[in-house]
Amino acid sequence: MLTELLTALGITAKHLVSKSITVRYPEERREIFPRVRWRHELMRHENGLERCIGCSLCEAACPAHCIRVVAEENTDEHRFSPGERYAKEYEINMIRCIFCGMCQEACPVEAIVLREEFELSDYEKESFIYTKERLLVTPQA
Amino acid sequence: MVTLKIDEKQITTTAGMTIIEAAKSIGIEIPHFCYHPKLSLSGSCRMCLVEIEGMPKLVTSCTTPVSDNMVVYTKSDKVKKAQEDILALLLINHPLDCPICDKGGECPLQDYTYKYGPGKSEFYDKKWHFEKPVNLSPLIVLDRERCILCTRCVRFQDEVAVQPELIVVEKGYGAYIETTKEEGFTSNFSGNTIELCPVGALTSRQYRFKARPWGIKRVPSVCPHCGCGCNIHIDVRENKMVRLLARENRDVDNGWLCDRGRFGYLFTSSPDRLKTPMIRKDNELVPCTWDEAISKAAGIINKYKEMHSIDSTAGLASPQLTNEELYIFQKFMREVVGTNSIDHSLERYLMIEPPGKTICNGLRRFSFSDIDEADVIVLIGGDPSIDLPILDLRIKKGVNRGAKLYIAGTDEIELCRFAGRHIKAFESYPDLMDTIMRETGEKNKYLVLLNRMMHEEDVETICACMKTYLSGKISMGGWISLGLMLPEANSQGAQDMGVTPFYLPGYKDTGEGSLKGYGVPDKVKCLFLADMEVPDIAGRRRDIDHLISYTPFLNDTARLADVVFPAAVFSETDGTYTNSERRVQRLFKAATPPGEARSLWYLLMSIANALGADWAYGSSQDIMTEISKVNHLYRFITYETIGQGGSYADGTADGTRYYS
Amino acid sequence: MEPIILKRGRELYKIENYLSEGGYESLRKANTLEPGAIVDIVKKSGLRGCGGAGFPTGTKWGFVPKTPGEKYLCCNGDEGEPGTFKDREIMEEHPHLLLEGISIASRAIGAAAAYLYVRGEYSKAIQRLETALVDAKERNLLTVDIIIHKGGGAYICGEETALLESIEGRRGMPRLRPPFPAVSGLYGKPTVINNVETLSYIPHIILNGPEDFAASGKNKSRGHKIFSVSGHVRHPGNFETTFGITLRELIYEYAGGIRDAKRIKAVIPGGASSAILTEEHLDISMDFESLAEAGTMLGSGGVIVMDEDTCMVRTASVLSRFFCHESCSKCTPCREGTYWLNTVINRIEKGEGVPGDVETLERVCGRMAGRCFCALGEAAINPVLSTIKHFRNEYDFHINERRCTAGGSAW
Repeated sequence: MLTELLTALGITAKHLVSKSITVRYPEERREIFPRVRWRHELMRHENGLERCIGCSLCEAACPAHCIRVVAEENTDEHRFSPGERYAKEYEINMIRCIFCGMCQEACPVEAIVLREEFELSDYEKESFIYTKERLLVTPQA
Repeated sequence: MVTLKIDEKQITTTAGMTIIEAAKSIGIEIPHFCYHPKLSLSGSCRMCLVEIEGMPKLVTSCTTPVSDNMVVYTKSDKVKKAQEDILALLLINHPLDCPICDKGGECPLQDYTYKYGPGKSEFYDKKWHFEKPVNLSPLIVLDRERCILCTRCVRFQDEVAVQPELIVVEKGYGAYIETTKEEGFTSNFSGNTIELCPVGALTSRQYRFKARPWGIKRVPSVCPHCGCGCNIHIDVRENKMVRLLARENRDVDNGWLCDRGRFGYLFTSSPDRLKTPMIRKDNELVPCTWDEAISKAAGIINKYKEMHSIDSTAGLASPQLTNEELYIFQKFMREVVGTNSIDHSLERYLMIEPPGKTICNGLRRFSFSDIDEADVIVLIGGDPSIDLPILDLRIKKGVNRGAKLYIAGTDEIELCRFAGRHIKAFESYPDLMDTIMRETGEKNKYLVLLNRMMHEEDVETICACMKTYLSGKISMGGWISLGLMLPEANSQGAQDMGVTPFYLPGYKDTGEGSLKGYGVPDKVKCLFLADMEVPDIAGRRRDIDHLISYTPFLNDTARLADVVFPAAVFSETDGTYTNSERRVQRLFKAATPPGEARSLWYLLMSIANALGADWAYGSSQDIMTEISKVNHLYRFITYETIGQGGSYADGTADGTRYYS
Repeated sequence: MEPIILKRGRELYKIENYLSEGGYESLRKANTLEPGAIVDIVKKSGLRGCGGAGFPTGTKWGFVPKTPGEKYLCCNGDEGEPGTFKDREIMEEHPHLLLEGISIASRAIGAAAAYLYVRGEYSKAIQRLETALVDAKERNLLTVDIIIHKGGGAYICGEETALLESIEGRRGMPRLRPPFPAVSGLYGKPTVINNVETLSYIPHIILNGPEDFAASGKNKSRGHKIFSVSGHVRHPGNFETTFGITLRELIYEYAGGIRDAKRIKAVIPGGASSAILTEEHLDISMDFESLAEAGTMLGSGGVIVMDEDTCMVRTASVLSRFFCHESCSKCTPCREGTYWLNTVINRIEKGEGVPGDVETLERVCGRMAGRCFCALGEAAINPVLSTIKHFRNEYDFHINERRCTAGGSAW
C-alpha cells in the first residue's frame, strides 16, 4: 500500500515540476499554421480590381447557408472586378459560419479565403453580419 | 402502332413517332440540344445519337421515326462515346463563363457534361472569340461565344412567332446569330427564345445577375396583363419577383409567353409601392395606421348611407383584381354600402352572356383550342396581337394548318399578313356574315371572335345570321363557336361576378340596368376606387365629396383621395382569374405585400365589420366557396377542381360548352 | 480513244459549230422516246455520278415518282472540290453539250424546268452558258426551261440539298434526308440533281446506245471519266479517259510526268476529300471500286500530284484550312472539329507543335467520324488521317525539330 501511495505522489510531484502545456492566452499565443481557417477575406488582384465575380458558388457550397451574394454588372465607368460581373452585396453571417472552408474551395477565382484572424468576439448580434466592406481587403499601395 | 425495343424495354407506340419521343414516354432521357417538340427538326447538334441494331452508323433519335421490331440502344458503349465526343467538341470554343453566366445551375450543357461529357479538356489552343455581350433589344442579351448554333431561336421566330427576326450569318466556326432588322430584336415574343436557348447565349436583361436557380422560390400563377391568362411560374428571391417563366398549359398558352407578360413585373418591387394607409389631414395626405384609415373610411360610408340617397355612392374596381376580390367588392357595395352603382370599366363594354339578352344559344362557347380546329376564323374588330398576344400565335398556327382567316372592321393589323381576306369596311353584319358563309360554304367549323366595343344588337344580328347556317354545319360534323375578346386579365371575371350596374353575380338582372350607364356616374358624391385610375377625376374632384382609393401606387387619382389604402398586387394574393374563354385559373401567393398592404377582400371585410357586418372569411378559398353557391356559372368551381390547369366555369361534365 | 465530251479545237461553244458536228441530234432522238425508255437506256449504260458520290445515274432517275406534277432537274455546276476543274472546261467549251444533256434528262424524269447551278466564280463559263442558252432558245432547240443560277461562293452548296436551299434563296445548309430529293426536293417537289459531267455523257449514250458506253471501263465503273490533273506535273489539265487506266498512266503518260525531273511523293486521287496515296499505289486502277478498296475514293477525279519537295504537313494544313472555312456551321462535329484540326495542324506546321499533338489529331478525327450531318465533315478527316498514316515522320519532325523536312513550301 505504501508503494502505491508513493508512486502516485511521485507522479503528482513529477507533474508539479514539469513544464505545463497551457498557453497563457492572451499574453502568450499559439503558432498559427498557414492553412488555418478563420476570418474570411475577399481578395483583390494585383491591379487592385476585386477578385470576386459575384458567381454565388460560395453561397451554394456553404453547408450552413450563411453567405448572401447579390451580383451586379460592371460598366466601363464603374468597374469593380475584371469581366462582366461583380458582387454588389456580399454578406457572411459569422455566427452561422462553421469555418469549413467549402466557400474557399468552391470559389473559381480565389476571391474568398479564410485567413488567420480568429479573435472575432463582439457584443451585438447584428455586428456579426460581415458585409463586403468589412471583408474586402484594402488595395495594395 | 409499332412495337420496338429501347434499352431492352418493349414499347408499343404510334407509327411516325420519333425515337426520342418514344424513349421519353417510357422515361428514358436522351440528351439533346437542337431538338424541341414544338419546332421543326434540325438534326444538327448530333447529341441525340443512338445505336440501332443492324445499322452501321449511329442515327439521330430526334429525326428517326420508330419502326416495327426496331432495337434501339441509348446507353451502349458506342452511344456513350458519341455523347462524350459531341460534348468535347462543343466545349472547345465554349467560353469558361459558368460562374458569371445566368444559365448556370439550370443549363443543359452543364448537366450533360457532368453526366455524359469528358472529364477534362484536350483543347489547349485559342478559343474563337466574339464581341460580347450584344444587346439585341432592351430585353434580350446575346452572348455569341456561348452560342452552340442549335438554331432553336431562329426556328421559333420563323415558325411559331412568324416574325423572322433572327438569322445565322457567316459560316463554320465564325457563324453567329444576328437580327434581321436594324432596330434589333423587336418581336413581341422575343422572350421565349430565352427559355428555348439551351445555353446562356440568349438571356434576359431584366433578370441578368439577379439570382441563381438554386436560391429561387418558384410559385405557379397566372399572368395579369391580358385576357389570355397565360400560366406562369413566378420566381421569387427574398420576397421580390426576379423573373417570370412560362408554365405550359396546352389549352391556353402552349408554353409560350408574350414579352409584355414575361417582362412586365418590375412594378411589383418598385420602391414607390405604398406601404402604409394614408389619410387626408389639413389637405395633405399623411401616413396613418390601419385602424385609423379603416375607421375613417367606415365613417365616410356611414355618413353617406344616412345623408344622401344611395345613388350618390359609387364604386369602380379594376378588372385586374381576382374573382374573389371582385365578388367581395360587389357584395360590399351592394350589401354594406347599399348602392348598385358599381362597374369595372370607364367605357361601355359588351356582355354576351346574360340569358335572354342575346340569342347565342346553340352556338358553341369559345375555347382557345377552337382556333386549332376551326376551318374559318373570323375576327371582328380588335387586334389579338396587342390585346391577346398568345391568340396571335394560335391563329398563325391555325392559318398555317389551313384555316382561312377573315379580318373585318379594322385597319391594318399584324394578322392581316395571314388573312385570307381583310374586309376593312362592310355594309352591315348580315352582309358580312353572308359573304363569308358564301365564300366558305363547304367548310363546317367556324370561329367568330367579337370585340367588346360592339353593341348587343350587332351580336344579336350576327347570331341570328349564324344560326341560319348552323344546322347545316352541325349535320356535317361541324360547329360555330362564338367568343368575346376581352383584353384585361379578369374582365370576364368582373362581368361574371356582377361588378356591373346591370347584373348580380351570375347575370341575375338587378332591374336597374336601364337607368345606369357605364363608368363613373355623373352625380356621384362618394367614390370608392379599387385599383382604378380615373384620368379626368381632377376636373370632377370638387363635385365629389369623398374619394376612397385602394391602390399599389400613389398615382394621380390616389393623390386626390381622402383615404388611401395600400394594395397587394397579383403576385401577393391567392385568388383566381377568369380568362377570355371563361377558364378559371388559380393564382398562388408568391410574395408578401410590402408593409401593411393587403388584398382587397381583406380590406373590405375589415371595413364591413367596422360597419357592423359579420364577415368571417379566412382565405380566398372561403370566398370561392361562397361564389360557387351564389353564382350559377361557377357552381362546379372549387380550388381542387381548378388544380393547376384551370377549369371552365360554365362547364358541363363532359366538357362540351354551348350557350343556352 | 475518241473523247465523248472533250472534243478540243473546234470551238464547239459556238452553236453553228456544234450543230454542224451533229449537235442536238440526240435530243431530237430522245424526244421520240418514252421517258421510261430513256431511264432504262441510262441504267443499262452503267453511267455513275461524276460529282464525287458515284451513284448510278439511271437508278437515281428511277426514284422519281411517275405520277404527274411539278418536277425539277438541277445540274450541279458548283465544282467546289479542290483539284477539280473538269466542269469548268465543259461549261466553257461545250455548253451546248451540257444544255442538250439537261434537256434529255429533264424529259426522262418529267421536269418542265431545270436549274443550272454554276459557281459564281466561273464568270467565263456563265457567260458562255448564257450565250449558248440564248442561241439554243432562238432556234427552238430546247424542250425544257433552263434557268442559270449563280452560286455565292460556298463549297457546301455543292452538296445536293444545300444546293437546293441555295436556289430557294436560303442559307446553303444541307437538309435532313429522308425525304430524299427525288421525292421532295426543290420547293418540295421531286428533283434530280446531277453533275455537269454526268449530264454531258447523256447525249452520246442516247444517240449511240448504252452498250457503247458500257463497253469500256473496269469493275462496276463503266465508260469514260474526265480526270483533272494538277500539281507538280508537266502538263496539268483535264484528260478524258476510260475507267481502268492506272494512276501511273494518268500522271506519266497523260500529264507528262513530274516536272523538273523530281520524284513523286504523294497523290490526292479524288479531290481534297479523298485520302492521299503514295508512290507505292501508282499502279492502282482508277475506278470507284479499286480506290475504295485501297482506303481512298475516286470522288470527283481531281488528281493532285505532289513531288518530293512538298511538305506533307503543310499540305494537311492547307486542306484542313479549306474544310474549316467551308464548314457551313450546321452540325457540331464539323464546325468545331475542323476548327480544332486546323488550329493544331497550323501550330505544328509553324513549329509550335508539342508531343501528343498528333495523337490529339487522331483522337479528334475519331470524335468526328460517323457523326457529321453531311459528307463535308466526314471528308475533312481524310487528308489529316492519311497524311499522318503515310508521313508520320514529317509530323514528328515538325514537332521535335520545330522545322520542316521539305525544302520550301508546298504546291
